[in-house]
Amino acid sequence: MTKVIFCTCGDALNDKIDYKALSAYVHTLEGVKETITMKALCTTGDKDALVKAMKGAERLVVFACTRSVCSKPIEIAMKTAGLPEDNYALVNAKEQIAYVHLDKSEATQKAKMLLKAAVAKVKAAQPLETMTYERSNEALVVGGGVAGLTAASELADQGFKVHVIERSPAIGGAMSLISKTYPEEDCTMCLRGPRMIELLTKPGIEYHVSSTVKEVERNPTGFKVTYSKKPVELDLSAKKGKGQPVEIIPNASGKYDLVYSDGPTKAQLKHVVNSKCGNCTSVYPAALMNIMEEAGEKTIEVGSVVLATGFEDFDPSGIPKWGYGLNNVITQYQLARLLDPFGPTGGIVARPSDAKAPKKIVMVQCVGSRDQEYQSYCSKYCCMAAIKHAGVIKSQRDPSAEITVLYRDIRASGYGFESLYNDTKEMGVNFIHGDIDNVSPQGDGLGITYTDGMGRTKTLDADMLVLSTGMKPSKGSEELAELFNVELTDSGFYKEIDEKVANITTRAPGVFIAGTATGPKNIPDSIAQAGAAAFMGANYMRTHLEKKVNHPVVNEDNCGKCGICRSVCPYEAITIPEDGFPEFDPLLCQSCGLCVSSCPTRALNTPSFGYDVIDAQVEAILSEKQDKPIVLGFICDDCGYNLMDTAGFTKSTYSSSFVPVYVNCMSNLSLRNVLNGVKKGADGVMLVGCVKERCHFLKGDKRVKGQMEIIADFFKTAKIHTPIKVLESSGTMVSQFTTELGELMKKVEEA
Amino acid sequence: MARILLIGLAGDSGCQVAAVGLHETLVEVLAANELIYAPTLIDAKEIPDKIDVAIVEGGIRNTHEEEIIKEIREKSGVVIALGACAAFGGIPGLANLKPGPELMNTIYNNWRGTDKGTIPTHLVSLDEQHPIKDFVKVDFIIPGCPPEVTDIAYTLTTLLSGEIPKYNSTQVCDDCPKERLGVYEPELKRIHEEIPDPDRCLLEQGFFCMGPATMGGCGAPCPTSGNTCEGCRGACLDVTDQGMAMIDAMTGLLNQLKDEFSVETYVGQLYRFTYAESILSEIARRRNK
Repeated sequence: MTKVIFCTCGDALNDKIDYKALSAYVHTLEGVKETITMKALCTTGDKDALVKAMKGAERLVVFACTRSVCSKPIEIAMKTAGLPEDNYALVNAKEQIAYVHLDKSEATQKAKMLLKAAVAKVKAAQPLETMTYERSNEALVVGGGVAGLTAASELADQGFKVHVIERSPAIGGAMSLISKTYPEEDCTMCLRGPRMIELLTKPGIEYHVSSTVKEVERNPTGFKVTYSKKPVELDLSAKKGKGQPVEIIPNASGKYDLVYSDGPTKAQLKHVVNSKCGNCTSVYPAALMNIMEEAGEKTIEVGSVVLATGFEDFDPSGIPKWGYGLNNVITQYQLARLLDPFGPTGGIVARPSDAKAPKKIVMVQCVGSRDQEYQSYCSKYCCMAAIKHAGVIKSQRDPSAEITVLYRDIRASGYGFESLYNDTKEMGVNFIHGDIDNVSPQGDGLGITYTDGMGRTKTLDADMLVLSTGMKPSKGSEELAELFNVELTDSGFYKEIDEKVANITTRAPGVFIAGTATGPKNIPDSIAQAGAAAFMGANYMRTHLEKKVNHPVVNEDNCGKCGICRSVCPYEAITIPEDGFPEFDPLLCQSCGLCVSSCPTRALNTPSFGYDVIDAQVEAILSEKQDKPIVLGFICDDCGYNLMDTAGFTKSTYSSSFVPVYVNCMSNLSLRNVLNGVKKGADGVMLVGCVKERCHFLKGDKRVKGQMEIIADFFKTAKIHTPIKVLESSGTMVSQFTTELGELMKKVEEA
Repeated sequence: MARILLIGLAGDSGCQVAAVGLHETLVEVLAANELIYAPTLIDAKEIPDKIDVAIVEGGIRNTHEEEIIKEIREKSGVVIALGACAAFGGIPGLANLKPGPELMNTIYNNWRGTDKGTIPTHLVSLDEQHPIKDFVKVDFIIPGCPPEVTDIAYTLTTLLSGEIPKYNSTQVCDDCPKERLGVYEPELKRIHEEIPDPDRCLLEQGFFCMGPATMGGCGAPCPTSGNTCEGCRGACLDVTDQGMAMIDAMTGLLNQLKDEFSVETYVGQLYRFTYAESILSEIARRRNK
């Protein structure tokens, strides 16, 4: 039994549509037993009445307003009433009838057609089953730095198996190469030592070092990720007189040089000058991985992904004002290596040119950062890094050292940052507001020219110049973003969906981002973000998905197994076993309907939008045809529906001869449906689909164009003058629609 | 002894020749039946009474044929439409794309002929070529151009034994031995343009094969021998319109078709045998009235 619920929109539509006539009319339709009229079914006041009205109905037709307003209340009420949620048809009486057709009798006549079509639709459509499925419960973290390791650890704590893919031969990342962290000058030793051992031995984490992601294939349960591993051969045993190796630096031949902690010799200092954040790796033994693992490609299946690929230093080479390349000009990161007791010099700060301790050190801020020519953004961490290093030198290495920091603005916002800044100033570190203009060799030191805050040109001499280089995205993050379908910001960092409310999620569902790969940040922020990313990833894997099963059903009596369905499917959801009938993967199938409309023998039907469901509506509409011509509109349920709504919202008017039939996608529309409409009396046909290349189901826009080109020629040859028009439209192109429909109506009258 | 009639209307006698090409079965059929009327074989003027089985070849194009088919129906127990013309209108059905007078003028005035300028008037043409089902009830259809001899033999021997023949209605593809990989050439070709891979589905190779929309049971002789299926056995299964079914399928596969051929080629390929019964011609007929 079908029930019809009328909603008058708070009686606002009473003078636009003849509800009495419609109620009497639907009683004449087959299967309709009861009609109920309500004032505003979308309000909470009518909620109980709506549930009550629905009870006992097998099928439901609702005559109300746009689905964007009333579909949710209807579905909730149906659930409460114990009816299958989707077994109803909605006629939008407001935006698609009353607002666009101002003549009451015309509006009522169109309403009759649409009601009859809706009754036919619910009769022909089948209720859908809901299936749930689980995602893979293994996670992937790309990047073995502090963010990646934190995320991996958190995920493992939550019971997920975690794969960590790291490009370099060891985990630890940039942080493991820095001995002291601000604001409290904690030793990262604690992280490199016990923490590394903990992470390395933590059950549930599998590390794949010297590996890069090569291929990513998305499927409904997650990702199939193929990575390739190229282990490096290194002799990491302790050397007599040198001790353990502390660092490996990639060399020009693509191999790695080992660095031992030898004190401030010239050779060691050369290593420091060659090191660059983002490519050298701490080989502190605990962080060292089983680098002899077999080479080759492997594929893992994971349910969620955290991208934490970190950063690399801005390279100031070749820009004269910073003098990088001159003797004794190093970066802040290289200074960190000099300060590291487990670094090449054993923690002794020395000038690369003569291995002597520098007495006068100048640090220059904003190297590459906040500079329209290089990186327009602030790298956030460099102010504090310079303050920390200046303080460490003053307090722990050489209190007599003269340290000057040339800055633009000191950005010390964070817990304990400002007091560290003040403490450093008190130690005698000199902070000068100014911009560097030039560096040149001067004696055995450097001469620096700068413009101070008052615009005056001044000079400084120094034994060593330290450049506070900014952060930029690490090499390869662009390729990785493409593989995982993640967007990049203008600066090349991974882009979040929304910088405020969704700053860990990306446009690729299941892919989360953390650490400096999302933009410059310090260690605490990276750790916090990584924890959040791990939580989101875990949550994503835990969420069981619900999906309406709306894949086509095969009528085996009509199937000749020609295989066309399998070939047209844009989602590769169809398989045909030998001597069997087509089988559908309910997860892969997106119910676009292309196979249904392409099946020459009509052996396929989608439960809710099938061939027969469309034909039933077409025939219902045309059986109500009176003297007025009818233009059938086959309309895409996505953009097309919105277009029809927008026409109503904007109170545009158009001919009431236009009667819409919604299809899932233009892919779902068969020419046989269209011809059936023309045969049954349609005077014109308009197909409203998505704009070129914007089809939600990949093929609909191109397909319908191909169909229309050929049918137009056929009509011409057969001297059939029924006009057919395809309109590529977004949800807002109302004036284009009304103009095109006007022209079509003219042709209908001529024909 | 069953009394059998064999007649050709708007067709080319090919099906009648196929009907008498029954080989050994002919002996059995002739021994059990009496061929009472078969103008192609034996001269006869009047259609006899009490026909048990009328086998009709050819469609209906003029009022004379219309009268004959109606008379046959009245006098016959069983009427069989033999071949594509009787069953679906056949190749002459493509003439329905042009108005009758224009066709007559083209044929008799603008074509090579002996009596240029004289349009015959002794027969009154109908506007269109029709399958016989447009005028009379048809009991059985033996499709094909020409029909398979085995189908004719099966129909007659089954009827003789007092049973009702049942036909295979699956796709030609179901009979076709060629391998389908699920990958399609983006450009369509006609069979004379290239030599196909003999083992692979012709449609997949880009050849315009009508197999998916055509009734099987023939054993797919054309694709097997390297030719595309032309669709002579008409629509199969739930194909409502052979040509449209193939356009839907092929636009689904290739998105765009039109630029490959001219519209005439498309019509000739898609509706070679079934234009007269297509939805397209039905719409055209109604619209032009």
